[in-house]
Amino acid sequence: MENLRHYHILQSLLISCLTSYVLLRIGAYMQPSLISPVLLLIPLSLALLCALLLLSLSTKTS
Amino acid sequence: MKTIISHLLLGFFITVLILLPSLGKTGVRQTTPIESITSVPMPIEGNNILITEPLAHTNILLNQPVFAKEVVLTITFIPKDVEHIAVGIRENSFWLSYEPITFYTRQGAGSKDLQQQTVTIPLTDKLADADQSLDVILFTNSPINIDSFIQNPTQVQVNWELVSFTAQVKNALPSWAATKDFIKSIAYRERVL
Repeated sequence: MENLRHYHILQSLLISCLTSYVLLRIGAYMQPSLISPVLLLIPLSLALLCALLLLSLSTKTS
Repeated sequence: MKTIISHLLLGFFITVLILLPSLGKTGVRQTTPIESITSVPMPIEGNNILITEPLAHTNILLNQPVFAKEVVLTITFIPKDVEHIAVGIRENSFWLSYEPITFYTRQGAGSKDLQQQTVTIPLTDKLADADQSLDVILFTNSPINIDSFIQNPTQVQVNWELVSFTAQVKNALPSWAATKDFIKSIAYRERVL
């Protein structure tokens, strides 16, 4: 039950981080001076972390 | 549907969180060495930079968006015999879209000595490069005939010394017109050409 709750939180965070990445990417496309390329790495790294945690959680559950 | 909206909202919130630190930054910014508009560095005499061309260029490394910011330029210089000196920051994709702000006009012999001037320029309606730097030009004895200057840049000679040039970024409430220019630059995907 606890694992399922964690799973949902991580899944939600993963989607939100990817959404954030897409929003920043659109901003950088529209006006490159608006967003530093380094900032694009933040949501991408967070999404990767969430994906890895999700993977480890699903491995643990199975 | 509700879940999708909540994910989008959280994504938007994360984006704002990521952007916030860079939006609020203030303080002194680095500038690149002063050079001619053909990227030739200006000569150095002692500790001072000798400005020998009517248009001298530098970049302010802003490292943040221009919205709701202003830059305070502190310029220490020895004007020697020049008539007047102005400074401008690039406003749009046209290579010479600068609005020169005069900070020195010759008034008698006393004004030829070392002096310091401060110029405050709002940044919201200015156009930064992709690397978040601002193009700055120091205009000497403007207006000059740009076409003849481009044809023969060394023919028009000026002579004054720049002792120091510092740029300090501050937060500033933008005007509605500047905000519209900022939005327009995003909507039209304006680029520094």
